[in-house]
Formats: sequence, structure tokens, C-alpha cells
Amino acid sequence: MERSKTNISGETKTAYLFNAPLIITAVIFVLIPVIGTIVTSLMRDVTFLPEKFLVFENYQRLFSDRHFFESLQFTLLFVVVSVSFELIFGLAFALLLNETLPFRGFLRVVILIPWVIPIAISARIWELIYNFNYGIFNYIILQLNISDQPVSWLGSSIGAFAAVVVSDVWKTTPFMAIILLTGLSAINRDLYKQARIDGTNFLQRFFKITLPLLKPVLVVALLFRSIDAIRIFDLIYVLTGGGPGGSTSSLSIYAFNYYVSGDFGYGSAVSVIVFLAAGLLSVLYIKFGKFRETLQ
Amino acid sequence: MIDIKIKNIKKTFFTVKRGKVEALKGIDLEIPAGKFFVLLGPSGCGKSTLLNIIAGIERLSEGKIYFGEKLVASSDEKIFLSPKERDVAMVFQSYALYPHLTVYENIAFPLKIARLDKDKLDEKVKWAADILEIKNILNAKPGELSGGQRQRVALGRAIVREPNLLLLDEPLSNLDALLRITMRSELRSIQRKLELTTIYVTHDQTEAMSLGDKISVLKDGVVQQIGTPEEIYNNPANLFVAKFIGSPPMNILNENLVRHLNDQLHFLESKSLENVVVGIRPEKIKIVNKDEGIINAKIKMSWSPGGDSLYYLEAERNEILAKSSEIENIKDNDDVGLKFGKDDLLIFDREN
Amino acid sequence: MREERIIKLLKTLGVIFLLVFCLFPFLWMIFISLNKNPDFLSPQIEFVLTFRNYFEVATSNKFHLWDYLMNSLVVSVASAILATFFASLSAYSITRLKFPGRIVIPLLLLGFSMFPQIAIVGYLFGMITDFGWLNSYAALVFPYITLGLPLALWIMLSYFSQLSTELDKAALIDGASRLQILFKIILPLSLPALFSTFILTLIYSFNEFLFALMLTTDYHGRTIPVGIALFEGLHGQIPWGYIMAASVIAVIPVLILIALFQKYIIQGLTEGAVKG
Repeated sequence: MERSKTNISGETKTAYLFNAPLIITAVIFVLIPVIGTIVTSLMRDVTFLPEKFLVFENYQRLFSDRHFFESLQFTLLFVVVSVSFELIFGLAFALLLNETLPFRGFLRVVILIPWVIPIAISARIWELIYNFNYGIFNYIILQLNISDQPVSWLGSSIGAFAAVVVSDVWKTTPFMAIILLTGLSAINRDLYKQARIDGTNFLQRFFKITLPLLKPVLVVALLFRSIDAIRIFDLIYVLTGGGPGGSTSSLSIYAFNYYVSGDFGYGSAVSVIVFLAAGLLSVLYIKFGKFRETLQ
Repeated sequence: MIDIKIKNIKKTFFTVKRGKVEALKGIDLEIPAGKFFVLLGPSGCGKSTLLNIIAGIERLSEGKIYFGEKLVASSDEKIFLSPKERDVAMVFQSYALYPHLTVYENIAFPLKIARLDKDKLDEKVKWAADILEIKNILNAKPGELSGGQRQRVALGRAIVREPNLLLLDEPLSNLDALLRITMRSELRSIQRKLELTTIYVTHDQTEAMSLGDKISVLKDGVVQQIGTPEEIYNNPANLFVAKFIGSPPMNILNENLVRHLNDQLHFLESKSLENVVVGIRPEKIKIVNKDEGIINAKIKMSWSPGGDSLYYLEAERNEILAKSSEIENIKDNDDVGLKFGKDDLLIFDREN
Repeated sequence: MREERIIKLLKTLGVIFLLVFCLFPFLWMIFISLNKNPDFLSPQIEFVLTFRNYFEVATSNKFHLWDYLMNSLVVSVASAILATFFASLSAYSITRLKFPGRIVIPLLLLGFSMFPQIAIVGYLFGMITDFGWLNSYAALVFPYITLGLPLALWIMLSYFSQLSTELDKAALIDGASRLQILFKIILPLSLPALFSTFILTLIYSFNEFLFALMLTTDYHGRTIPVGIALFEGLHGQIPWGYIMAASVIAVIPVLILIALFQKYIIQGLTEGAVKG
């Protein structure tokens, strides 16, 4: 069949038309800003100062920036700790919801609640819970005599780290749970009946059947969450503002602070680092993803 | 090789949609050691539930189960042994093969759980694979196998333990017709060879009739009849069994025809027309020349699937199916006679 | 059987833990909003029921609750509708038409969803200011559309690919254009997926924070998450009662949504996220 070079088939034309809104919006509001940020990171872009193209000077500055490395360290630690807890709790809840329970519908609504409440709002609730004077945690601690001094959650770097992790785990565990629940419900129920007949106990069924068959979904969920966790901003901004003393300053917060103070160049450089970190994880994900496909 | 005694099993459960459901309403069965026992019934009759209860993966609401001399489940004495403790093996309709394990590992699984040592385990797995002729696929995974092969693996996993009892829940329904027939005979020969007490659940009466030493017909959680295939075929205990068994199914004769036949054969005795339902199996009706039989009929349609001849005919405004194992020289619209005896009729009380 | 009892115990404990875990902060928010003085230096927890917090925050001139809510609703609904619409168009073309880029587009969008917002927002701020859109609805609606597109696309893709193409072929023979087919046949048959997509993108937009923080400057444009996050007291003491009352009011719409449509939300999440 001959295809004239100047005549795009009607189908293709329609297809381009149909995809235009999506592509145009995505290009203008995602692709261009990202490219813009990368370019800005190579410049000196500070308010009230003339722009200058610097190439890698911002990055060199980054490498000798102690605070940047603290921020990086915090972010990575946060990702590892948070996602681990989310995995454990999420799996526990998913296993629970996979069983036949009364009021299943109600429980599903309940489990969505942490996820639907805007993070800015839940951050304020946690802010109150951790409050030195008014917070319920300190109240309980004093009442139960766990300590005779109220704990300064948000005022100490360890306390703040814990506070941030707890709040984040609370918010995103439901999401994990739902994803894992889907994976669980895809496992043929007869397998469990068969395993019972084959003489297994509950723990054996979990490790020999549930986990191996859940692994693909687990891996995907983990990687998605990790990529999400690396760019954390909202929770920290409202809960601790990055403090005390910048100890809970995630990479995104770090960049943000530079934006706010007018140094867009440096802030962009930090943003690019976050971008690269997320990209690295994405590559890992693709590698794992292909692996899974070839197995099937 | 042990026998199984089931006494008065009842199972009730509560669902949100339908409230209280009585799945089993008092089942009494005795399965002799080493025999192939079939639970036959339409969907929803409770046969799978009964199987699960015997296996120990569901609890009975009432009743007792004995494996040999051992009481394995009792509602009164609150005894409930786990499947492992009962030493049963089961094959599900979906085969339930562990998709992430190889065929070898699937078969070895129960032995591994029982902590059999490596050499013995290997010996047993190879033994089972040998019997089922799957030695050549030991390293494959279930996803790579055909339906028939998966079925064999599931069976292999079941027999490898040489269990007290083998339970099969419609294991052949997912196979195509030809494979089903070959697997039936193979299944039977393996069972005989190993002398495994076996309970087989199916809704296919042809299967039940060809496989079972004894059959129990179930409907709505109640045993309708227990007997050998011949007994059930020739002496159905009630209308349901008579209609369920037999392919093609038994003809039910209308009042007119029954009255007409009774005038000639006098089979009703003291019963009155309104209280009985009379039937006759297609195979029992012999087609003869017109006026040479008990009644006359007109052939409406005939066809000959594979060696038999089936005739759809009308007698006294009654539509009847007749079956003959010979191919006769009869054409549509022929007038013929039907010949059969009093003993060929099956008479039931109307259970209204 | 011992194991059965252990499992039953674990299940019960599990349900209790789930309820406490999920509901504790939520109930605490309601508790504080209805309480008079959240000061726990005193030895007992006092609970004095009052609706004053609600009254004050609803009528306050300094905290523009209703402006925030209105902005949030407009922006979320608009972006949700548009995102669903754009995603449907694309998903339709990907599942029904052959063109180069068929496979690339979803993957590309997946990639975009991994971009950290911080890497976008800095430059975006400059762009929005240059457009003259700062603090307007447009400033938020368009970025929110792009935030919701990846998930929306995956949900619609997954759903459309399950719809038989025979319907399309029949309609083509009847002379319909692709656009007509989409609107008159495919979309009406896809209501569950459309619904899930709409609700999910709505929730995402409603909850979004960083973009709203940077791209709006005052109550004319601000959304409610930003409003509540920045709510400080005048004289050093944070008015927790008011904040919680405002929060409760803010989450009521979403809560009603999930109570009614929990099924669609979970369906949408699993279709979109697991497939991805």
C-alpha cells in the first residue's frame, strides 16, 4: 500500500487532535517549567541582581554546602523510615480488609479518611497534638507518668523527625493498604484452602503463598511511595517549617526557602537534585518492572 | 484405607442478603473403605459444602464425622480436627496449583510442610509423578501447562501423601469433552490401584454413573437416594432422582396417556390418577409397526447421534422421546407403535 | 482450634487498631473545634461544648473562610472536569486509533508524574506572573489539571480498553465521527470510570498545597489548605479552636464524597495505580 508522504492518514490527524489538550497542557505546565528550572539552576538568578549564566557554579556551591547535605541526609532517612512503616501498617491493614468482616464498607470509608483530609489540615491537627503545652500526647505522657516533663516534640530534632514520620505514615498508609489490598484480592482463594489441606499453619501460608504472590504489587507500591516521599514538602512546611534549626528541612523545603529568599538559581539547583533523585528511583522501577514482565 | 461415617450433618450459615441459609439439612452417609463414592446433585445442593466440611476447611453446625474409629468432628463434643490432622487430600475445580512453584515443588509442598527428609521426599514425588505420567514436566511452572497437565499435577500433589481420604470437587469440569473421558478412566484406575477411599463431587450425572461405586444424590441439602448406579437408574427413589439421572432424561407422561396405558397394563392398582406421576425412560420404549404395540404414535423428528437413534414422537397429545441402539428404517411423520411393559414404567407419588 | 482463635483475636485487635489509628486525629479535630479552651496545663481535660468557634470563624472578617472554600471548590471542580475530559479524549485515541506515540504518551505522562513539584513550581511562578495570572483561578486550574492527568489517563485507559471496539465500528458504519462516537456512545457507557476519575482528581486538587501556596497571594485566590495552614493568631496565641472549626468545615465536602462514593474511589485507585 502506498502512503503519500504529505498525507497523514485521517486517523492520525484525529488522534493528534484528541491528544492535543493533554499534550499542550502537560507541555506548558510541566515540561517547560522543568526545563526552565534546569536552565535556571545553571544561572545566577537572584532578585535585584542581574542575571548571569554560570554553568555549574550553583552545583559547586551545593557540594560544599553543609546544610544541603544535612537536608539530603534527612530526606533519605525520612524516606527509608517512613516507607518502611507505611509498608508494614499498609500490609497489616490490607490483610485485615481482605478478610470477610462485618461493616466492610464502613471500614473502607474509615481507612480513606487520613488520605482524603488535605495534608495542610492534617498537619495542623498533628501540630496541635504535638504541642508542648496543649498537645494531647504530652498530656497523656504526663498523666501516665511516663515522664514528669512534657516532651518537646517539635522543639527537638529527634522529636521533630519522629513527629514528621508519624504524621506522614498516618496520611499515606491508607493508600498503601488499598494498593496492597488489590494485590491480595487477586490471589486465588482456593490456594489458601489447598494450603490448609496441605497442612500449613497461618504463618506458613503468609510467607509461602501470600508474600511471594504479592511481591510484584509490593515492589510497585514501594517504589511509587519512595518517589513520592523524596519530594515531601507540604507536611513539613506546616508542621515544623523545616525546623527546629533546619533539622527537618527536606530537600524540597530547602529549595523552597531559597526561592522565597529570592535566590531562584540556587533553589533551582536543589530542585534539580530532587528531580534527579526521583529519576534514579524511576529508573530502578523500570528495571524492576521489566524484570517482572519477563517472568510472566 | 479407611471408611468414613457421616452422621446427621447440618450446616447453617447467615448471609447479609438472604438471612439464614440451611445448606445441609441432616446428611447421613457411609463411605466404605477403598471405594469411589460420588456426591451428585445440581448446583446449590450443598455437595461442595459437604465436601469442605469433611475436609475440615469448614465447620459443621451439627453432626459427627468418623474417619474409621476416630471422631474427627463433632458438634456435641466440640471436636474439630484440622485438615492436617485428618490427613485428607483435596483437588479443587480450579486445581489450586501454586503458580510461583514448579510442578516438582507443588507436589512436594505437603511433604515439605510435614518435614519429610529430602531423600524420602524426592522418592515420593517421583513416585507420584510416575503414576500420573508427568515426570517430564517436573521443572515447569503451572502457567506453562495445559489444562490436562495441570489436572495431573493437582492429582499428583493429592496422592503423594497417600492420604486417608481423597476428595475431588468437580476436578474434570474445566477439561474439554474428550480429555474428560480419558481422565475419568485414568482417575478410576489410579484410585483402584492405590485403594484410596475417595469422595467425588459432580453435577454431571453421566460422570457419576460411569465413575461411582456408590452414588449419593443430593438436592437442597438433603440426600435423595444412595445406591449403586444400577440401583439409582432402575429404582429411583423419587421423581427428582428419576429426572436427574439418565441421558436423555426420563419422559413424564400426561394424564391422558397414563389413563390409556393403565386401561391396558393396569399398573395403578389402588392409586388414583391424581396422586401419581408416571415416567418411562427413552431406552425402554421399543418402536414397532403401527398397531403392534401398546399405543400408537407419530414420529415428529428423528436423529442419530453416534450410533444411537433418537425419536421425538407424539402419542395421545404427549410428546415423548424414545431411544434405540439400532438405526431403524423410520422416517418423519411415520405412524408407529410403541411397545413396553408394566415393569418399564416408573411410578411416583405426587409430592405436593 | 487454637490457631483459629488466635486469628480471630488478631482480627478483632486489628479492627480496633485500624479504627483508632485512622480516626484518632480526625476525632481530635472535631473535639477541639467544639471545645472552649484547649489548654491542657490544667490537670484535667475540660470539655465545654460550644459552637462559638464555628460561629466566629464563619463570620470572621480576618479569616476569609468562605472565600477560601469558594476558591477551593471552583478550582477543584474545574480542574477535575477538565482533567477527566482531556484524559478521556486521549484514552479514546490511544485505545481506538493507530498513531505514532500511542505507547509513548501514557509512559510520558507516567514520567511526568514523577517530577517533583518543587522542580516545577519555581519556574512556573515566573511563567504565571508573566501571564498575569497570579492569584487567579487559572493559575491553579491548569497546573492541577496536569497533576491529575496521569491517574485520570490510566483509569480511563484501563476502562476503555475493556470496552469492545465493535460498538465503534458499528457507529462508524452509521456515519458517526470519532468525536460523536466518543460523546454519544463511549462516554455514556463509561460512567463508573468517569465518576471515579472525577472524584479522585477532585480530591487531589482540593488537597493540593505547594502550588496554591506559591501561586496565590491573598484571600481572593487562596485555597482552603493554604488558608488553614497560614492561620495564625493575632497576639501570639494560635487560635486552635478556630483552626479546627475551619478544618472541620473544610473537610465536610470531601468526607461526604467518600462516604457516598467509597466504592468508586477505591476502584479508581486500584485500576489506575496498580496498572501503572
